[in-house]
Amino acid sequence: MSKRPPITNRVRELRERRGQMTQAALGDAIGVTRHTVIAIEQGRYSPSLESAFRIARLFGVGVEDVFGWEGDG
Amino acid sequence: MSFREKSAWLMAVAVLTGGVFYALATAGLSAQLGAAAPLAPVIVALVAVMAAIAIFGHVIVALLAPKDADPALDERDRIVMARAGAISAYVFATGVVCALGGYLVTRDGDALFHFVFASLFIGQFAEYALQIVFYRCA
Repeated sequence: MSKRPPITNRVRELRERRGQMTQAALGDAIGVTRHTVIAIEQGRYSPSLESAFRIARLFGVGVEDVFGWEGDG
Repeated sequence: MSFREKSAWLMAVAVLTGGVFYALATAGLSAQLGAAAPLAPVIVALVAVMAAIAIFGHVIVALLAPKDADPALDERDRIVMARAGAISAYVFATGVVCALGGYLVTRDGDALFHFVFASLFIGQFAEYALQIVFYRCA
């Protein structure tokens, strides 16, 4: 947990693309706090598989469209 | 900073304050008498001070940011608390084992009480300090 996970994500980009969706609104939608959304967007925390699927489904994309492995482009 | 992290800061301060208060009270007596017997009034006062810091501190934190004062834990909170709790349990256990070892040598029950009590405080402080570290890092 103290080591930055090697997982990249496009959560912020997808959230901002979806109108005025706030971090708090995204957190409410997937069942986490605003601070956890901030940690995910900053790459400090990798969400559980369940939350990853919830995020992807919320944005109408696949999990691999939201999350990637560092260095995989 | 999340409500949980603020709470961890608050509890770390409460435990540290209580620990220093107890250490000073006990050290004062022990300097004259050797390991002083635990005094119930000191422990009652200690618990009261810590409870007051915790209660009033949490009320103030909740009033300053009512939206964040949701008691529900999310997945990240649960991971942070589980990891901090697991490591601090080792800290506490190490202190207790050392205290028991000391008792085998000295046969001083009062010193045993103080060392176990100190281990409890150090373990609790470690738990809150680790929560802060994990919240900062993840």
